Amino acid sequence: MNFWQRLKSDRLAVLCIGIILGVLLLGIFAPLIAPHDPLQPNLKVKFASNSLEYPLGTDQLGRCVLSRVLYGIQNTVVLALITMGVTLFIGAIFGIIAGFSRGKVDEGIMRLCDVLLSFPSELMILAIVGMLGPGLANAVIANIAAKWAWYARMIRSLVMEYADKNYIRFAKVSGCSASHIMGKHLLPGVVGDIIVLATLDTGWVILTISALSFLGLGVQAPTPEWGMMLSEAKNIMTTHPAQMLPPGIAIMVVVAAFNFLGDSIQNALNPKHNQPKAVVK
Amino acid sequence: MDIYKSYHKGGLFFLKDRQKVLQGISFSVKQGECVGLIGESGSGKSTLSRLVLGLEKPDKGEVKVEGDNILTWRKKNLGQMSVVFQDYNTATNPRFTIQEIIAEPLFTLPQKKGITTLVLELLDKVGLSAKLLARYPHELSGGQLQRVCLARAISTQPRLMVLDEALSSLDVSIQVQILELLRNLKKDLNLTYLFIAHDIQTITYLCDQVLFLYQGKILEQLPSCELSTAKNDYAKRLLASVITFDDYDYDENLPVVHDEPQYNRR
Amino acid sequence: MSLLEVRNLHVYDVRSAEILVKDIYFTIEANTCLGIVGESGGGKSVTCKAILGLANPWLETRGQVLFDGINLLAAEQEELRQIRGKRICMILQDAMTAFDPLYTIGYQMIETLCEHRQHTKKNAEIIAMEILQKMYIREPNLVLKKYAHQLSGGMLQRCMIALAMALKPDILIADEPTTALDAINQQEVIEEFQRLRQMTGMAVIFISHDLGVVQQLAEQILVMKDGEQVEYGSMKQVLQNPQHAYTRYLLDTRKTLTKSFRDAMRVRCQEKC
Repeated sequence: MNFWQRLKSDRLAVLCIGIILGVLLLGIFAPLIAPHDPLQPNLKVKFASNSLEYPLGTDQLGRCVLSRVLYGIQNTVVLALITMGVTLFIGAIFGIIAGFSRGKVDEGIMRLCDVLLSFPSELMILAIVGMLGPGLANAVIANIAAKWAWYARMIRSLVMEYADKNYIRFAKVSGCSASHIMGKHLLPGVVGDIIVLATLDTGWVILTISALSFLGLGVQAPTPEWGMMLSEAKNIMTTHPAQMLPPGIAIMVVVAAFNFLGDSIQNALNPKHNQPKAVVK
Repeated sequence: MDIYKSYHKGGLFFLKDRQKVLQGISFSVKQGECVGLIGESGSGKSTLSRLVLGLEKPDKGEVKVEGDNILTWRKKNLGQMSVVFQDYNTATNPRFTIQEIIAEPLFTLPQKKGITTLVLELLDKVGLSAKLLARYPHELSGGQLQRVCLARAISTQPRLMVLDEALSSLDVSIQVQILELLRNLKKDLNLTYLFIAHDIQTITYLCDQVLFLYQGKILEQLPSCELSTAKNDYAKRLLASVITFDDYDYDENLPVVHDEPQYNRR
Repeated sequence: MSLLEVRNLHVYDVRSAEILVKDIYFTIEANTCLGIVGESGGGKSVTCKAILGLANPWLETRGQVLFDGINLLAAEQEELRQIRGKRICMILQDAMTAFDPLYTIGYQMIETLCEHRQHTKKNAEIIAMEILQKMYIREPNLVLKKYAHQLSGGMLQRCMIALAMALKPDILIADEPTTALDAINQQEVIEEFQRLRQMTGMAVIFISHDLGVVQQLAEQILVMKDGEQVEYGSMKQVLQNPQHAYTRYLLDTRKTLTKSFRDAMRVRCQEKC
C-alpha cells in the first residue's frame, strides 16, 4: 500500500480532509452562498434569533452571523494557509542550504536562527505587530517572521539525516551540482515530514491570527474574521453568550481537523517498518 | 600514458576525541592498475575511501589525481571518478526507480545518445534484465541492486573507480559473479580500481597490488602474486586466518582444531 | 531416536499464500553439527525460526518437528518457552543488536544465566568469568563491565557463544554468526565453535552462505534454494559428489574464490608482474 492508499483507508483522515476542503470551498464561494452582506449593519434586527432568513441569527450590529462566518473563512483559514506556505518556503530554503552545506554557511544560518528563536514566539508576534501597526498583512508578516527559524532548524536536522546517505555521496562524487542534489534528493525526502509539521502547526497559526484579531491587533473592524467575531462577542458575553458559539465552534472544528489530519499523515508516512520486503529473486 | 598518482601524506584527526584515524598514509595508483586495500573494521579504511573520493579533507597532505588536487580534478573531470559502496540499500534513493538511479549521473554531462538507450546498454553490461527499469530498490535482491550501483558507476565512463567494500554485503556465490563482472568491465572500459575489502580472497582475485592497513597505517605493500613473501606480522596473521575452501580430493583431513591461539590476541 | 527430527516442514505466508519453505527434512544427533547453506533469501533462517516457533506472526508452519519426542509445533506456548533457552538456543547474525545497549555485557549475561539456569547472582558472575576464560577471551572481568558498542562484532559474537555454552542447551542454532565479521574475527569465532563442540556434547545447527566456514565445522550439510531442500547428506559425500546443479554452482564459485588466493600464495612472481 502506498501513502495515498493508507491515507484513504484512515477514516478520520478522510473526514478531516473533507472538512478542510469543505470549509475552503465555502470560503471561496462565500460571495455566492452567503445570504447577506457581512458588512451591512441593520440595527433594526440586531440580536435576532435563528430563523430562515438569518440561520445563525445576527450580531450586535444586525449583521448576519452566518455570512460573517463564511466570509471570515477567507480571512482566517486561507490566510493561515498562506502564512504557513510562506513560512515553510523560507524555512525550507534556509534549512536545506544549512543542512547540506555544513561549515560556515550552516553556522551562520544557525546563529541567526538561534537569535530569532530565543524570543518566545507569541511575544515576538506582538512586538512585530506593535512595531508595524495593526492590520491583517502585518499579522501575517509577524507570524512568518516568528516561525520560519523553527522550521529552518527542523528541516536542517532532517536534511542532515539524509546527507550522510551513500546515494548523496555518490551524487557528489560523480559531479552532480549541489542544487541538483538538494532539489532531487533532499527536498523530496524531507517533504513528507515537513507536511506533517505543517498540518500540526496550521492550527496554531489560525489560533494566533484569531488571537491577534481578538486583541484588536490583527483584523480591523468591520472585516469579518473569526477571532474578531469572538472578541466582539466577548463584550456582550453576559447578555448574549450565544454570540460566541458560531466563531468559537468554527475555530475549534477547523483547528481540530488540521491536527487530526497531521497525525494521520504521520501515520500514513511511517509504515515503512511494517512493509514486508518483497524481494525479486 | 597517463599516470594517476594519489598521495595521501595525511593524518585525519577527530577533534572531539583527538583520535588519529589515519597516520601518514602514502601510496599511488597507476592507470589501469587495480590496487587492493585490506583492513579490518576500525583500521580507517572508510575514512581513507572518503578522502580519496574528496568527500573529506585530510588534516595534512593531499590526495592528487593526475597531478591535481582531488577537488580541482573532480570539477574539471566530471563523472570521471566513481564509487560503489558496501551498503547498496543506502546507496540508492528508495524513491527512485532503477532507471532514475542509473541515469542520474548522466544528467551532469552532455549526452549524444538518448538516456534510455544508454541505461538499457548499461543494464545489459552488468547482466541485468531490462524488465527491472521500472522497479524500486526494495524490490531487488542484494546482488541485483549492487549491479545497479555498478551500472550507475560506469555510466559516466569513469577512469577511476573506488570499490568501497562493494562485495562485503553479498553472498559468496554472488561475490564471485560480481568479481568476474568487475574484471570484464576493467578490461572493456580500461578502468583503474581502488578495491577496499576485508576478505583477501576477493582482493587476490582482482588486484595487482595489495596494501595492508591497520589502525591507520599501511603496514605492508606487495604485488598480489608475492603475498607469500609478506614480512609484517599483522599481514602474516591476516593471511593465515583466511577461510579457504578446499577440495576433498587433495586435502587429507579437516583443519586441525586449535586448543591455543597461535598468535597474539588483540 | 534422534535428538531433533524435522519432517515435511512447510512455512506459508498466510497473507499472500506464498510458500516460503517447502518440505524440509533432516535429523540431528547429539554431538553433531549440521550446516545449512544457501544464498540469502533461500529460507534458511525462516526454517530455524519456524522450528522454534519464532517465525513472524503471519507465517504458518506445518509438518513435524520432534525434539526428544516432543512435537514442537504442537507444543503449548509455555512448554515451548521452557525449551527455548534451556534446551535449544539460538544465536543471531548481528551480535550488536542481540545485546541491550543500555546495560553492560556482564549484567545481561548474568541475568540470562539466572533466568534460565536458576543460578544465584554470585554464582552466575563466577560462571560468566569462567566461560569467557574458556573461550580465551582476555581480561574477562573487563569485558563483562563493557557495553555492547564498546566491543567489536567478533568479540560480542564470542560472548554470545560463551553464554550459549554456559546455558548448556542440547542444541545450539547459529544463524550466520560469521557473516557480519571480517577475516580475523571470523577465524576466531570459528575456533570458538570448534572449542565449543570439543568441550560439550552440544549439537549445532550452523547457518551460513559461506561453504568455507561450514566446511570447517559441520559433518552434515543441507543445501537450500528458494525454500526447497536440494541436497542433504554428509559433508564429505555432498562435497565430493554433489547431486544437484545448485550445489555444484555453490561449490564452484566458492572454490574459484579460494583458488585465486592459493595461486597468489604459491606463485613467486616471475612472468606476471
